[in-house]
Amino acid sequence: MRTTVLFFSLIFLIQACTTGNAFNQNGHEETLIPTSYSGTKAKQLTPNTSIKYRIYLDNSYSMNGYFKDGSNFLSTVNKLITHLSNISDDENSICDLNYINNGINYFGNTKNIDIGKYLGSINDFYSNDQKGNRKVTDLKDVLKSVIDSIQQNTVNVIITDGIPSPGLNGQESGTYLDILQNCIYKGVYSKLSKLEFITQIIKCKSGFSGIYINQLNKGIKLEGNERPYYIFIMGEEIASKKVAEFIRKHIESSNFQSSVLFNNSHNITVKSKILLGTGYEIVGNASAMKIHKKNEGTNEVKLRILADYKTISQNDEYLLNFDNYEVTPVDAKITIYKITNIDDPLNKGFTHKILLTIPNLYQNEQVKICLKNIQPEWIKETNTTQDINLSDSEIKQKTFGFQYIVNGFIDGYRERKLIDNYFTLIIKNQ
Amino acid sequence: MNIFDSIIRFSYSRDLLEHLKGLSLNGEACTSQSVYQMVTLIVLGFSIASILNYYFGLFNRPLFSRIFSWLFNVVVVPFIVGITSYSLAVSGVPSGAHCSYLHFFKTDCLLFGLTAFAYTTVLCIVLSTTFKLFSVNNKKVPF
Repeated sequence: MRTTVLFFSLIFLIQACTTGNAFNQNGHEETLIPTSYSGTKAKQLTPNTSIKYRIYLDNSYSMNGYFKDGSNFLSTVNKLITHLSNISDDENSICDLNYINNGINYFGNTKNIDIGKYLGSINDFYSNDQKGNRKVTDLKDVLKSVIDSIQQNTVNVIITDGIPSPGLNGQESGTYLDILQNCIYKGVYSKLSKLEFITQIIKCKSGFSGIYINQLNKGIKLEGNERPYYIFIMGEEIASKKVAEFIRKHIESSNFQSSVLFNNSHNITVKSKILLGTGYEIVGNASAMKIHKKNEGTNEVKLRILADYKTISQNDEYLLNFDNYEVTPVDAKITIYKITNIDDPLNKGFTHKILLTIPNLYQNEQVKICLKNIQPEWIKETNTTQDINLSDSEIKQKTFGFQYIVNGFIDGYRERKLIDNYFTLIIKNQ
Repeated sequence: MNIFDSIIRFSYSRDLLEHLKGLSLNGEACTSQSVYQMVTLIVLGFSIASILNYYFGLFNRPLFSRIFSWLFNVVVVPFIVGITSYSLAVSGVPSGAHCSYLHFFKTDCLLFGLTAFAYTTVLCIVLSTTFKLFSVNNKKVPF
């Protein structure tokens, strides 16, 4: 009896010492600063809402190269379509399969069409299942139609090499690209007036052995090369993000290149907290953030800031890139980390950690950290306005007219009040 | 999650707390050796060992069945734990031994040592009230 009581008492004591309770002490040295942008609220999915998925696979001839030597492309697309098919089955919804080239051609849905047949038809030049004119990709009309078809509970996924076909007849390529940008802009602008939706563009790469069709509609033979391709995801926010997440998780990391996300939701609230260790103190209240360094040694200041980026619809690639931040004074440096241990009570409620170093912060000088909403550099780097004579390295990276497509989206979202800064923090040295 | 996340501490800075949890030198995450884990084990190990020794081991004799013997036992062990905790914490004070974004001094370490001392004392008292019931000679110590 005694031994049993002793044993249970010991277990109880150890348990009491190793489990948490509500006595977390954050100390007096931390200050919370909320930054918020109020505006229209994004339409949220109700738990019982089922999502309709529509897949648009570019089946123009220039895509054949990805199938011939692009097993990673095929694998990614196969996984994605199977996943969306399974989700739509679970939600008692539908996943439509379409081809795009000079127009949109409905192929069937995953309930009654074999996915292998859908993918296999692309590789067959003479298949009866090929529809439309595969010689051209009229992205301006195709993208506009896909944008027009977005509804409250739909997610449209376009898989394409992103190369528009201006053609020899009629327009100059420059004029065509301007028209392409304008078409997308109009489509996005008009759709956003009726419905809030997000657009995420993911750049991937794959092996490519086939015919590359340039702006003059001339074929260039490429063997054993790599080429970029793009997955556009447009539609309801939560479901679209899940699709993007799936792609990120299942694509080989070496084949994922970059991504960009557009969202016109203004319902952004960034909470931040400055962590001041011994030797610093807060002066004034939280809205006018002032610090004071007690130790009169050097003027170097090193601070840690916790921020909650949950409401910002950008991916980590964007949030962790210091090029997307504006920091003053110019010699100040920041490093951004994602908080991985979210269970840690010290970081609870925050998603990112910013480490700030200012070599010389004098009295009454202020520091400003700003997370900007800008176009990522990779979009400019990907773009080319001529693809008649591409070097080997350009073939791997560049896509004709890609920036015009992205600019169309940016213009559309900007007109609908795309915000300039997600988050601004000003700290004054008192 | 460890015991020091949950308890009230003697107002030493959060920066020391993060250092003791093992914040890496670049400040990214807690991937270095955690002093907290070590100190938690020391607190539990020393407290249990000393109280077991007092009630069932070498001190389980009529000669030690006095409150002063018990007090000595309950003070010396927390003192050793406190000194050890302080030493472990203070070894991280020199620059280069901790993440440069953390700001803490020896006084913070002293407060941490005191926290460890206080909790070891409390644990020893709590253990005493349970263990004494089963002791042959020290059943009535401390009360």
